[in-house]
Amino acid sequence: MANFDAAGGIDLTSLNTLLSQYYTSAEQVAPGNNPFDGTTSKNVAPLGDVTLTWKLKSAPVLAFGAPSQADWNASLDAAGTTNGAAGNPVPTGAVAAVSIANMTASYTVAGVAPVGGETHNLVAYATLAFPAGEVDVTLVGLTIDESDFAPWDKAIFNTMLVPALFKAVTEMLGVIHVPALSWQGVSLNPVQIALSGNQLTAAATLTTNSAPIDTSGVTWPTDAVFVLASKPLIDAALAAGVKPYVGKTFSDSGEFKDLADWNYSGSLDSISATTGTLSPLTVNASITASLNVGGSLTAAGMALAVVGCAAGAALLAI
Amino acid sequence: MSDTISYDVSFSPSPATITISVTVVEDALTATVTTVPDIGLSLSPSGNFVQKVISAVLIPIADLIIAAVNPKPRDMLQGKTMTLGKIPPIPVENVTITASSLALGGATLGGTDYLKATATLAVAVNPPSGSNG
Repeated sequence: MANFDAAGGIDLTSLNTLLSQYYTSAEQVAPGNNPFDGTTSKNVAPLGDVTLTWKLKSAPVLAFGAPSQADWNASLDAAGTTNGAAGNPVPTGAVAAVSIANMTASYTVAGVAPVGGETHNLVAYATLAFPAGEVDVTLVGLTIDESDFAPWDKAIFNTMLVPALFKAVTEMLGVIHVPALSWQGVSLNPVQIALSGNQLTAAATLTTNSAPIDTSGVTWPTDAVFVLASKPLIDAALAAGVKPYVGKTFSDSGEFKDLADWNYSGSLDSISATTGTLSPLTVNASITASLNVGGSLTAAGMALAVVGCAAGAALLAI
Repeated sequence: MSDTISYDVSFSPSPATITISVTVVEDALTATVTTVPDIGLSLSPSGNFVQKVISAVLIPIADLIIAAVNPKPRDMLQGKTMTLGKIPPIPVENVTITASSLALGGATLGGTDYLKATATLAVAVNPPSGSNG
């Protein structure tokens, strides 16, 4: 049986929507200074200072899954060498691929007109690791069409564009996050993140749940973005929610027709709130209270009581 | 001076059922105490003979206290809201991811029932620091 108290998931379509929104927003807020549209400078011997400019002409598209052997062999590693030539194995496990349909890139050596052009179907491959609630992105391969590049252009692009793209794609993939739900007053164990098909999921147990987390065999909801909460988790959040009101006190005192003083003091001793049903979400709740009541006769009240007793005694004596 | 007025206190029913509803408010799952009934306080004279007689004679004091105390829990709790859970903005590098259109439902996974919330996420690039716009 599955064992988790909180979980969240996001599908590939939603991730691509986020990436597209990121692209649009970045171009509006910081044109020319964002992962999709940037400039970097570097001293490249023997040319001297070289300035590289690149711009994605459309939002990148994310996919999950390892590349084919042929695609992998043709991709460049971080040093600008093909993974095939470097003998790097095809990445396994959780692998993301970012495809860039059209990108312009050019470089300028001081005093010289820009050199460059447009490249198509650029693909970046990254491995994903999920330590303790994080998504660690490591770019491991980059496919770029350099067939039209002159040898010098190719050398410069591989020296500058490839590292710049590695950095840019790493920032783009930073948007890969599972929606985390902040539960009031609830402590969860470290989140277990996983890539399941085209869904990125995260799950955790309550710290009070001593059994190990188990999501094996779970068929996750197909909603684009979802969060799940167990009954114990909601009960814990409810308990935390009502806790500030438990023990609240009330009191008052006064005088009754100058004959007696009275007082009371009470408190809300307990508030119980637990989940009734989950869908629709209903809550069973109750309270208990306590009260102390006291009072005493005033001097006038005491005198009246004495008179009353005397009158009573006199009547009894007749 | 010891009390010359003394009452035994009882509540009926105890515990008293209250109503808490859970709804989505913006991006948060929010519980609201919607109904708190009078707590059914009863006071009856107690103590020694003299205390009982005096407390019985002064039963209007008990009525006064009952009228004052019965609605106290309602005054203290009704309408109070508690945020049970929410999807907070997710900061990533220089962007912020926010959730909206939170909707509730249910799901059964691995033989266990869960509350399910669905949402729409949106990402926006944070304005450069120092920007006033």
